[in-house]
Amino acid sequence: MLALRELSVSFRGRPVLRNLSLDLAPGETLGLVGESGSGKSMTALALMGLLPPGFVASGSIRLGDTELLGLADADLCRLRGREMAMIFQEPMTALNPVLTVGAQIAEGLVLHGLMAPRAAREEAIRLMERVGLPDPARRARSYPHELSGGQRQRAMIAMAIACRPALLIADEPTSALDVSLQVEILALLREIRDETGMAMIFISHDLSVIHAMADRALVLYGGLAMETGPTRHVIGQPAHPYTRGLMAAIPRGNAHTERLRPIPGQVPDLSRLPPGCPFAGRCALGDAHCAETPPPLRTGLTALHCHHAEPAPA
Amino acid sequence: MALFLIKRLLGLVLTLLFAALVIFLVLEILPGDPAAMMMGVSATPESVAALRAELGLDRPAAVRFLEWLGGFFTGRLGLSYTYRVPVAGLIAERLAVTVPLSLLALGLAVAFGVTLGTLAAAQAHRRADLIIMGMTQLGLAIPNFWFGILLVLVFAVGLGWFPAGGFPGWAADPMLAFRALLLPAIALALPQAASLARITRSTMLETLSEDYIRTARAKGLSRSQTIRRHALRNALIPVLTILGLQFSFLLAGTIVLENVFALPGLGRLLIQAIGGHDLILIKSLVLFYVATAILVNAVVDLAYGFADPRLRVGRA
Amino acid sequence: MNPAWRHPSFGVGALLMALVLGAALLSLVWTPHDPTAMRIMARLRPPSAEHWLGTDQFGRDIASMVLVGARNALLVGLVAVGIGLVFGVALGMLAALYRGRLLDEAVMRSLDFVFAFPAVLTAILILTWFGPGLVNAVVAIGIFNIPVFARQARAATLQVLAQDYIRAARLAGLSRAAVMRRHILPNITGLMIVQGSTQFAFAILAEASLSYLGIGTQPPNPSWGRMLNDAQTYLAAAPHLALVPGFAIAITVLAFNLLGDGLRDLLDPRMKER
Repeated sequence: MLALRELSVSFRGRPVLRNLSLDLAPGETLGLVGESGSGKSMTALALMGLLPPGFVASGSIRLGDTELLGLADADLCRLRGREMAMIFQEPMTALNPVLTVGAQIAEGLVLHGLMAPRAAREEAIRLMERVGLPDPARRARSYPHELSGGQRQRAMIAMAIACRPALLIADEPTSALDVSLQVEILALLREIRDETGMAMIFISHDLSVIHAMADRALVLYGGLAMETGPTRHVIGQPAHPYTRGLMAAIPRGNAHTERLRPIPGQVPDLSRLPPGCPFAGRCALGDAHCAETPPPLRTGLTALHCHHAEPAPA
Repeated sequence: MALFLIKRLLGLVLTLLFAALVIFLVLEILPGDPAAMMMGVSATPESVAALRAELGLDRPAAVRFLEWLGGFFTGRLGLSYTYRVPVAGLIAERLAVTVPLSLLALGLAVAFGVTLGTLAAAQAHRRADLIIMGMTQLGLAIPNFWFGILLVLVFAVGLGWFPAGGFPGWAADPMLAFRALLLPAIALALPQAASLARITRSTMLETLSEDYIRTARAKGLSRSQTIRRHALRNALIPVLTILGLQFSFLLAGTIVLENVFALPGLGRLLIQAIGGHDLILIKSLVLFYVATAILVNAVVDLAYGFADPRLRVGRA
Repeated sequence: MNPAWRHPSFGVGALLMALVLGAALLSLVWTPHDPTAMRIMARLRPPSAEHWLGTDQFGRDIASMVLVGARNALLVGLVAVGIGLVFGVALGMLAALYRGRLLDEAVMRSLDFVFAFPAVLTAILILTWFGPGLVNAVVAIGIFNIPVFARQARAATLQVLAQDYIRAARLAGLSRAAVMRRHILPNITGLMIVQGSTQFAFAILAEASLSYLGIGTQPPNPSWGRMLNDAQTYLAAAPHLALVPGFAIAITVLAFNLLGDGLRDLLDPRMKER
């Protein structure tokens, strides 16, 4: 349903995302993992055709039968919100402060010609009820600042699923929320996904969240896909040195006996990436060759880009 | 909410009272003998004494001050010294020019300023933006009265499309009266539109970088739909705060422009009153202007609270 | 070359400013004719080799009057901004030092009150009392400028006072006055210069308006606003009279506005939008 081939994004000639290819089937969830600056959000914005000014995408993005790259904005507008929708990280700032929540949810329905304004207002209330907002009829007339953070994120979800899109992109939808709220929102997203059969791209830096949500995971670092495969393999039997590093840096709950091993070094500046593997400078296996030549793709239980590591055999 | 309003109202009344007191002091107490000042050096002592009696200057200042203030409610503001008619009547009559002129200019300034500012922000750093911003620099630099003179030169003296000045009154032919106000209103609106355009551009640019703009785009709204439905209101809320200040410049501008176009408005009356040392008239006119400026600022402050839902008090 | 000159606003502003300043300085030593000399035989002449920009209704040389007018305009701006700057900064810093206390409240409220009077009306009040004239007009404009500077100075001072190094300086035993002089003043100077440039432009416009209305500069002193008033009477017969003084005002105001914008960008890179 969604197919990315060799998607690259660059800013003023500097690559921020390199040759990303992936496929997504209806009902499937892909987890995009990576630290900030790894290119996760750029992937999402490139999909939506909403890259900030100055960023240029190349390669191919096919949604169904439509090639999205190079499509005119007017045509993209017909797809955005209708075929593909997006939930953003910051529920505090992602809602318009001067419009009521109900109006913002109903807006897409009217815009895409699905409903008349009056019907859309009623549908907005139903959607708000669906996402678990209490007293939806009254909440629909509230302004965003009158809602709590969790409620706002529920409203964002209602807005995104309003037109029953085939693809939902969730960019760190729970990162700004308390842990207890995170669980609720994740459960809600899973429920809605199973109910509607939409495909989902779930972006997070948190491996446990990816584990809970995604069928397949893709680990990004410095704009390059490090490792990808079924979530249980990527997390259970990581082969790429970076994925292993990520796993080792996660606390497992036994604070007394466990020794956390952070990955040495820092995330490289995107404007000064080496031509080869972006992880080369921090990798235990890294050498001069790594930094200069793009790593080859090796496939097994998972697929990975690395000069040295081999995936576990399938 | 009620307490907030009462506090605001009290502050407003105090400011107005204080303004009146300052004007009264400057124009009626500090000159020593207003009657002598009004009549000039050639007046005989008898005639000065007669005027003093007519104005009631022998009575205590506090009484005169309160009477004057009361006059704003009863309409008894005394006789103009130069025109020999009631001041209240003069003011009322002249409002028929000044009020439509200010409103017309304000409307033009807001319409052009907001449109051009939005356009410039939408085209930020491209050619249209540079052209609009260049135009606003010129608009701020050109004195409004000179622009008025140039308009007369081109459209009245040159092309003959508009009258060079004067006002036929609303009664005979409203269309003709409107035409007489159009050129001065355009001249008056020029600097206002320029500064509104600059402010709108900067608040619009700020608004367009907000997260909710991306949300709106993700919903499928086009750029222009996003600007109209989501950005404009947010960008205009801060513009509203400076509209009060803009209005006070606009009011000052009417004084000048009415003189350029020989319009029988309050401003021309004021300058004529100054020429004739008509302190009685000046006093009430100045207070009228200042009170209007203060009241409009207060109203704008309140409107600000209503325009931004986050500032509305007393809602669930 | 200094990169400041490459900033478009600053560069153009500085260039225009040099032009106006040059005209003003030139008028001190030389004008084509005596700007006050009347020649009844040469009234309302169009531009010629003798009178480059023509003559007015008294036969005075327009070019000479415009040159001398530049001197007048710059003087007006200088004094009006000077008054606003000196009193405004002093009051603003004082209010900031006594933040939240009665003095702060009293100073800022009274300045709000002054600000509520439109500048032209403040001027009219003062001019009615003292009589029309350039000095009174300039003082009136200066008074209107005081709250503008005071608000900025107060806000900027508060910002500086909140910095850790000020607390450190105070702890090290520096007196309040010394802190003000050594730390606050240098820190707010840039901001005040930027505001000063804008207010300079405003002062020139305001004086031109007052002189146009006949209550600013009095004859025989040449003033661009006054010249426009005269020109309007002879608009049909001698339209060129209305052009030159207006251009002169516009160029001078433009110079200071552009200079202010450019300085703001150059002094504070964060405020630059590109």
